[in-house]
This record gives sequence, C-alpha cells and structure tokens, in this order.
Amino acid sequence: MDLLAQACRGDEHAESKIYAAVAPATFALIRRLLGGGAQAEDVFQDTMMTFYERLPSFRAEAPIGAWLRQIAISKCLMYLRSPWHRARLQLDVTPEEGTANMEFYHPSQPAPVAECLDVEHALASLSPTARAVVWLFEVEGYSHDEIGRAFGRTASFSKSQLARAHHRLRAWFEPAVEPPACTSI
Amino acid sequence: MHFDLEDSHSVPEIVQMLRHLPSESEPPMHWKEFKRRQLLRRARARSAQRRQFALVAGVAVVMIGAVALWRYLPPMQAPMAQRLPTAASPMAHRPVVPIAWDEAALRSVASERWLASQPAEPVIVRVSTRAAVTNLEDRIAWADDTLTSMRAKGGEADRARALQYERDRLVNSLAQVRYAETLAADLP
Repeated sequence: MDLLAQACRGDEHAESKIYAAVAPATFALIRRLLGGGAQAEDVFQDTMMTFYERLPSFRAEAPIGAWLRQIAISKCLMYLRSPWHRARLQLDVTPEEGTANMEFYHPSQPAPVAECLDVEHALASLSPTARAVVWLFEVEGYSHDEIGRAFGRTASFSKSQLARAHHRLRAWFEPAVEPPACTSI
Repeated sequence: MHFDLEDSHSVPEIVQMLRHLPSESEPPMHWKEFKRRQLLRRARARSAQRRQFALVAGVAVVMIGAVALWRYLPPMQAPMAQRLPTAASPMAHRPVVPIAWDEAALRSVASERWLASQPAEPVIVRVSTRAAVTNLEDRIAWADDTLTSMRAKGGEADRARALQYERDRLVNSLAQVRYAETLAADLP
C-alpha cells in the first residue's frame, strides 16, 4: 500500500515498480483478447495510461490486479466495438465466405501441421470478437448476459459466438475428421 | 506453449488448456519507453486542444466580422448621403440627433484613442476580418471627407451632425473588430 500511496503522489520510482508488477499480466490479457500486433500495443498503452490517471481514485476494495483487469477488458471491448475496427474486420474477410462466417478469421493453411497444434494458435485462428467471447466466458467467468451487454448485443449473440468458436476450436484440432463448418445455423 | 492434443479434442479439455495458458507475457515496452509515449500522447492531446481553442477563436472573430459587415452593408448599397435627411424633406422637422448622441460621441473619442494606441496591422492578419476592417476604414475616411467639405461650405448643420453620428458609430465598430482581433491573437 505504501507503494500505491507513493505512486498516487506521482513518485515515478513507485510507478515503475507497479508497472513492472502488473504490466506482464495486463499485456497477456490484452493479447488474448485482441491477438498480437500494433492494436494490442496501443490498447495496452491506453490501459496503462488510464490506470495511472485513475490510481488516486483506487479505493482498495478489490485487488489492484483485478481492478486493472477490468480497465483492460473495458478498453479491449471498446476497441472491438469501434466502427473503425468492425469495418476493418469486414474487409479482412474474403467475399465468398459470406456474412454468416464473417466473425471468423481463416488460417492461411486449412490443415494445421503438427507443430501448430497449440492452443495459442487455435485461439489466434478465431476472429477478435469470437476470441473475446471465448476468453471472457471460459476464463474470466463472464455470463452470456454480461458479454452480450458488453458488446451492445443480446445473450444469444454471446451463445452463438461461443458455440461457433467451440466448433472452430474443435475443428482446428481435428481437421481431418471434421472440416470447419462455414454456414450459420 | 505447446500442447499435445492428439488424444484431447473435447471442448472441456480445450477450455482447460485455455485456462492453463501462461497468464503473463513480456510487455511490448519497458517503463521508460512507456513514460516517453505517455508524455508524447499528452503533448499531442494538449496541442489538439490548443488547435481547437484557436479554431473557436477564429470562428468567433469571423462571426464578429460578419456581423459588423452585415450591420453596415445596407448603407453601402444606398449612399449614406442620400439617406440623410435634407432640409426639404419631412425628416428635417424631426430631431435628427439621436438620444444616444452624447454617449456615442464619447465612446467614439475613447475608441479613437484606443485605436491610435494599436499597431497599424494586427499581429495575425485574417482575411475575413481584414475585409471588415478595410470596409469600415474606407467608410470612416469617406465620412471624414464629406464632413470636411460640408464644414467648408457651411450650412447643413443637421446633416453634418447626423453624418458625425454615423462616423462615431463606424469608429466604435472598427474598435470592436480590432479588439476581437487582439483577443484572438492573444489566445494560445
């Protein structure tokens, strides 16, 4: 708490210590939700700036890590909801895939080779929206209602995204048995 | 982190593996780099804010200029001398000098004094207000010329006083526009 108090007073040394403690987990979370790349770096920067700006208002009612996680998730969802990002997502999809499958990114190699069989790559094969839904539901413990609200949609949106993401993940690991479905239900 | 998934394909197992992914990863920048970018972003935000203020001030100056132009444009279409009451016209029997004559004259003297203390050109010359200033200066010069010739000829005292009143108003308007320009130039 001393470190926090010092950081609240603007002590840069304390701020740097807090940064060293919380930055790795925060960036890991952002990377899981958004994938790697420049956008994850931007959102990370934005999250940490907001964190330091709001630090004086932190009341220690919850662990600081959980508080920062909330800020990071909120920033990621804002990014995913932004019209600019959604437009870019649509441009990334090939026209023949149609709108039903628009939420998924397609790996360049349809049948993943043995060395790519890891969860990181499977997660990366999902669209940012589907990835965020899977992560928030399965790992962060959000309910479908909460996820739906976070995306400005309904709980059904979250459920359908999750079902399709599960299908996609299973297909990723079993490419020869069942190819990924491209039609919506 | 790699998993061997040959024998584990069910969703619960995949979810378990998701939960066991490393919870930390190397941040994209160290503290000093983060601090540098933070300062850069704040500086950009401040500069954007300054630009916004300058834009608002510019718009205000343009609006003041436009209002000044709009107020004095009709007399340009009809020469001022024609609009002034003549001795033969019915207006000659009405009081030509408005009630606010003294006040306008006093303000005009103060405005002229203030204008004299200002540089000939504003710090930042704006096209929009420049047009208004030039227009007002031209019309003040015309009023001065007309007043001089009226005084030289003698007579037409009522018309001369009305013209003097009009000139005072023009001087006050010019002072207002120049004052707005000065305020806008002082903004960051």
